Amino acid sequence: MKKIIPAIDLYNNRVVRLIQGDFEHLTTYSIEPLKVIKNFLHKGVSNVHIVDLNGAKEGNIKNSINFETIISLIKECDKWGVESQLGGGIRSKEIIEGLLNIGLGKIILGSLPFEEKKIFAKIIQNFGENIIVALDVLNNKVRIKAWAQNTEIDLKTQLRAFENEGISNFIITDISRDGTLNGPNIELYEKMKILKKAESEIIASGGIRSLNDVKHVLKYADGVVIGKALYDNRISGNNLESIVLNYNPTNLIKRIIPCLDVKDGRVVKGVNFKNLKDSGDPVELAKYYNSQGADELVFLDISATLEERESILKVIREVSEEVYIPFTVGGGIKNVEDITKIINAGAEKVCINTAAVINPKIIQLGSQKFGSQSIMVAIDVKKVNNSWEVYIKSGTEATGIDALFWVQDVVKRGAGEILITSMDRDGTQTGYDLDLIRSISKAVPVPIIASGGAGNYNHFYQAINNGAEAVLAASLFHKRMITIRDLKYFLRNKNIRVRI
Amino acid sequence: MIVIIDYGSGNLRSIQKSIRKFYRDVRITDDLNVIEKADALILPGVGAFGDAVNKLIEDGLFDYLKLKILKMPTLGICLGMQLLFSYSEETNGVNGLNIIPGKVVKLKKQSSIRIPHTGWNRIIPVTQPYFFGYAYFNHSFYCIPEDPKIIVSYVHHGSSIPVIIVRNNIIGTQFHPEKSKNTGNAILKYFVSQIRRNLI
Repeated sequence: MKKIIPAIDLYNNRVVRLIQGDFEHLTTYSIEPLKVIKNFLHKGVSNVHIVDLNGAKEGNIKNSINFETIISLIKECDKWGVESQLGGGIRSKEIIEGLLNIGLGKIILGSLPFEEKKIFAKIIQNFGENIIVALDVLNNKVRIKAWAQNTEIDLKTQLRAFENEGISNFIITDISRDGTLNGPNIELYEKMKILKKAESEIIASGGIRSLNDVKHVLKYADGVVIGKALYDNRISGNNLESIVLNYNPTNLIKRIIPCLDVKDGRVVKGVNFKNLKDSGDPVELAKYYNSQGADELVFLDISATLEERESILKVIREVSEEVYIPFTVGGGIKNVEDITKIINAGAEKVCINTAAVINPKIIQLGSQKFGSQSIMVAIDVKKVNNSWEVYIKSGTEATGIDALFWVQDVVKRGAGEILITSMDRDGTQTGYDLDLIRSISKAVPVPIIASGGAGNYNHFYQAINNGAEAVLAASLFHKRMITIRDLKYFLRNKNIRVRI
Repeated sequence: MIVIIDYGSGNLRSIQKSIRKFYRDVRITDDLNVIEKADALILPGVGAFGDAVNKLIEDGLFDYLKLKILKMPTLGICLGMQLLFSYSEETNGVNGLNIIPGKVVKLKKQSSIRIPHTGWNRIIPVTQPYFFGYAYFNHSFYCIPEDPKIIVSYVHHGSSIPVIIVRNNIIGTQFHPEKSKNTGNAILKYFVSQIRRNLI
């Protein structure tokens, strides 16, 4: 994911551009900043860069003439689900807190880290992941005070110093290029890509003239701020949209899915919340996870008898009518009649495991009737040498079928999603089997849900990085070792798209 | 009265309950006598295009709805939206209601995206009425109206995909409003406001 970030510089409530930060060379492009930002948002951008030039010039955004305008821009972005970043005269922890509370995504700090070390340390402590440090560079030396003052510190040293303090987001501007349309300093970003820590994100800014510049700079940078080129139409609105689609083909979020085992209409196994009246009630639990921000749920019916199994339909009806969350139901599905009953009761998808192996036709019939998006196939595997063997009947029976062969086969038959569980890792909390996830997700074009082995935040991140569209866990969530909310913030800070 | 057309398509109680937050009198029925008295319609849909068309024909609803929908506010949801179109690549040789000229096509395979389009995606509005935020999608086919001006929102998934259309009294959403939280509620509210306007 590379960030394409249109810039709005505000001066006296107008959208302007400066050349190399010089207020003598100011061009006004619009007297309607809100209209300008909406034009960018309509093109599907996910980030917007706002600079308060009055704040920067006079030293404090709080007294800036643009303040009301800035608030309206931040709120507009937030409404669209778009992350805004703001810089220019931000001087205190209190103002940062206030801005974040109204929906600002990230704070850009330029001078403060150099001039107010104590305040900066406090800010990092409280809002570290929301901070972007802007480093303005001339001949490899960092400059501050609207570029007037040379710190005599070279960029590499300064970057590492901030990284060690806990900052991982940077905007680097070569000021000899900014606003000049002379082209970005590609070599600079190439060098920084090698020098930065792996987890750091470097956004390039300054000098972008064309689509070609964007392409070149994004070879090395993690994102790019585009300003003047958008305003004098060297990059048109349609160009902007095509860049966005090219670098971020989808805005689909990665899903977090708790899995609940149900027996005779009751949730069983390890679910124990003090704040729930009835921790075995599927509706109560679905409501709880819905409020926590779960993106979907999976109910696995582990009932042993036919009578018990009938009760899952009542559960489905109640959950779909009481809780507005999409969910999948699996366990004991044998034929298309079972699928029909479950979908008609209100489940979004069914999940088929053993029956898919014993009678693969069920996949074709089910997907013909309900569309492949309704048919999820669950595959339980154990590692054997360098491959994985498919197991059925809750993992009790080996089939001799190779998982990579099987996943391609079920997708050909119409499966629209794969729930892949590593039995070796399940319950160990040592992390998902990443080789497995990578291999499976490369083998088929449908979404993959990773399951088995999650034990900490990073495990989820690894699974997503290795190709999982969604991550599933059970006891980790049920025992509240990890809350979904915290997990989502963790992933968001790692640049994974989540719904918060 | 809002009537949710029941032609054996999924659990309709959840959409009924969602819309009752904004409008009391909502009924689920396949009874033509009741549908006749409706002030507004909801056309739901789960499953495949051909199956759904055949069911509407079997229930004697197909030709009836073709005329009825033109006269009153109508919300088509997911497959219900697709049924409003001329035809679908999903089932060749079967015509839709053809109330909105256009076609339903399969999402194009690309290495950068997964199909089906499953999960929460961010809606990008392009014109009024504006809808914002994330909605829950689960589909492999999407609608392309002949008149692009009726597309009010897109999502990005490999390309720009139309996901909300508004034409006169008709609203179509590719996602399920009842499962899409605030974004879904905004759609339902807008639909209800159209009914109220129509009744004045």
